[in-house]
Amino acid sequence: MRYVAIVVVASGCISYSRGSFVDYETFPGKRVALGGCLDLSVAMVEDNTATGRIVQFTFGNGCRQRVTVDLGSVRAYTTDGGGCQRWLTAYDPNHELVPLAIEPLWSASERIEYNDDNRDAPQSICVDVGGVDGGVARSERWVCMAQGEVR
Amino acid sequence: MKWLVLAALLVSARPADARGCHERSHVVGYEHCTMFGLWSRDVDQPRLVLDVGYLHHRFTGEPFSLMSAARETMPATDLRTGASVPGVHRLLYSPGGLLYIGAEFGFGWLSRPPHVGADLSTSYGVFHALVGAHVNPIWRVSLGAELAAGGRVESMSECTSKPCPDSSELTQTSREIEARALVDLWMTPQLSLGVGYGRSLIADNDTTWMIYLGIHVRPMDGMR
Repeated sequence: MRYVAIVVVASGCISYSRGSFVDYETFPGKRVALGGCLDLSVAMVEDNTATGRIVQFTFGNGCRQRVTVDLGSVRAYTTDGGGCQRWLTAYDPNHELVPLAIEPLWSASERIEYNDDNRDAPQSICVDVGGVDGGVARSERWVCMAQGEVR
Repeated sequence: MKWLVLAALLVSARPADARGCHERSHVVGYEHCTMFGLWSRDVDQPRLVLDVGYLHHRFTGEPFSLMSAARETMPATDLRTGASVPGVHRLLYSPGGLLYIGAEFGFGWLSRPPHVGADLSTSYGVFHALVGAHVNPIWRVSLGAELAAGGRVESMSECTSKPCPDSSELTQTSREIEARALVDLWMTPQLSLGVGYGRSLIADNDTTWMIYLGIHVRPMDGMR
């Protein structure tokens, strides 16, 4: 019975709390308030296999109802050395990026690679996350970050 | 209880790692062991569940005879028996909706063997086919009811002296049909802790308690 009590208490501890941006650890990157139930942070990260611009989206549902998360709605661009903007597309060979609902008071993260035909060194990226929270009307919310930028 | 702790450790990091698949990248499109959206019950994955846990069965055994005792002459209360199965396994599949089917098996021993006045070595096995239904009406709690039909095997051997040149052994089999109520607490979308209580439909004073850890391929089994 002692073990049962520990597990029950632990399950309560891993609930996501609205506005906390913490689950097992602090959400990495820039925090974005989308005006709904979803707390979102975005960070540009590196990967051993993928070589493009990789963005980690970490999100938590702070409400007691399910919320649709639409990471396929994210638009992205980068600015090259000449100061020109180049639009990027998400790498999704298996067509996995569909809107999905996250359970109440739970959090999760996903990493998505954005690239175009140019295979230049990934340095910076800007993403529009205004459509990620399916519970609020879409509006442009651009977040720009650089490789290795934690905050 | 060691099974519960072990299973919790296996699923605490990444579900696929527990299967021995080592992910080289967690970027969408590069993943081999996992996939995008395993945090949502809407993701397109099979509704498969593996439960691992502990089962305790209390029942009245059949009359039996060993060297030192003939139980036919004893009152039925002396045949009250408890069986412990520390590693009961349940494999469940839901085609969709509320219903699921599955099977469970486990092996243990008689934790409370019949009293015969001599030391008994015992073993116990159980196999059930399962059919049930479950719903998720409240936040992280789901409720279920199921029917378990199958049988049990009990084996007892008695030694009157050591070493044991003259052992007496017997094996009994019994049919079982049991109705159960289950409650699951979801700790993550793919990990649940459950308890169950069952009562036999064909035998008196025959009850089962279970506690188990559930590992779910599809988050929350895609339940509504």
